[in-house]
Amino acid sequence: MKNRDDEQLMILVRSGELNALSPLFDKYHIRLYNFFLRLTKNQSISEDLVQSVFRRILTYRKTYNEQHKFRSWMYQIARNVHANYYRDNKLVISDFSEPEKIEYETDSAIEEMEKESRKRILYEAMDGLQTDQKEIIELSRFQGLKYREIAEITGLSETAVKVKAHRAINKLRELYFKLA
Amino acid sequence: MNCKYIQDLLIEFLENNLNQEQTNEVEKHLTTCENCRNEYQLAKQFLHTINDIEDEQPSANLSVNFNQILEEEKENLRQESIQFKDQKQNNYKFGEFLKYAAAIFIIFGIGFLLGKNSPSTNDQNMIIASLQSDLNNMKQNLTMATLKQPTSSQRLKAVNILEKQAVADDKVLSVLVQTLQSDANVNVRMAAANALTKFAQHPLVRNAYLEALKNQKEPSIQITLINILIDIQENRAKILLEEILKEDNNLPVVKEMAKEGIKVFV
Repeated sequence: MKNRDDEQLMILVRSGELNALSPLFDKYHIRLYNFFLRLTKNQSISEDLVQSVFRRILTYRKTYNEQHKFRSWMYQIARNVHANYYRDNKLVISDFSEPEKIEYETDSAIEEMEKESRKRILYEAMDGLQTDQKEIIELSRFQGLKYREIAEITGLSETAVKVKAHRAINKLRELYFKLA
Repeated sequence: MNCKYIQDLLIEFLENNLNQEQTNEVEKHLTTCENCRNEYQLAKQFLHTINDIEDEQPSANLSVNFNQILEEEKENLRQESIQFKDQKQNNYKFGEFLKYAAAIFIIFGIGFLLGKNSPSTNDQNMIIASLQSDLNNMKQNLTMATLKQPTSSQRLKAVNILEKQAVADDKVLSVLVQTLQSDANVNVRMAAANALTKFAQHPLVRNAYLEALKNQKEPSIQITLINILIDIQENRAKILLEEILKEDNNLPVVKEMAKEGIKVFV
């Protein structure tokens, strides 16, 4: 089952072969977790949100249309899950809490510390972006999606996505060096 | 040359996303402007930071919970299908009961009439047997008539009833075949395809499968048909499978099945 592509697996899930979702979970759950982690800065919330995404995929499996990439559909669901989360919890956590610290076991401690501090600055800089800019950075940079896919997910035109991505990355660069 | 304009392009420049003209502009400017060269170094460092972000690992709970969600959903699915079966059987039993009641009534009634005219017991048995077969025919006809119902769930039920029959005459087969070829609902066609597997040795059925594979384009039914044709070792399917491979519109998953099928038939 592992060597089938995402869309083939999702077609199987749609037809009631639910086990076909496992390889998709294996492939995407870490990426999704980090997607939510960067947006919420909270580990347990992020885990909950990843679960919500896969729960929805199961619930709405019959509506999957293989004309679309599974990945785009999944991120569409992830965006909705995130939006609902904020609607239901009006408090905007991400603006207030520090990213939680991760323990590294490493010999090159200094290098790791530097890396860690660059990362913290980057995340702090991201908090200075507007929500839609943050999202486009997340999708285009950290999730590695193509502009065409982001266009499909967000409902914008590909050109609009390109322009937005360009502005967002330059804005982020500016904010980053203000903090660095 | 405007430095702001150049600095705006640096990220795309670093990622080779500029057209030739813009690339040349940036290159030319960088050789002459020290300030922008610094910006260029910074942009490079910034990109490195972004690309260097490593994914964090979620706790083990996430996988555990996912598996739990999956199992729950599988259980739901099982429940649904059991409920569906129960419903089907209950409805069916009541109908069955009425039919048997009617059969007994008719047989006794006719037996009584015949008894009056006192033919031999042998004759009576013959008549009873023929009545019973008439009754079965009626039942069958009734079920087949159900296949003309407007709702797909009724037609699905009818296919399921026909499937339960131990022997099927050409009439039943041809109704099922017709359903397989032309029912408006893909699930009913699929049920017909599965119902016919019991009679797969019949040439009419084998031809119907080939015909259906040739004409039907829904992935789910294509997959079902390919599986059946492989099971019943219908070598004539090979040519059709090759056609499927060639057709661009077919889904990769279908093509993959076709490929596996072709291997089997070599």
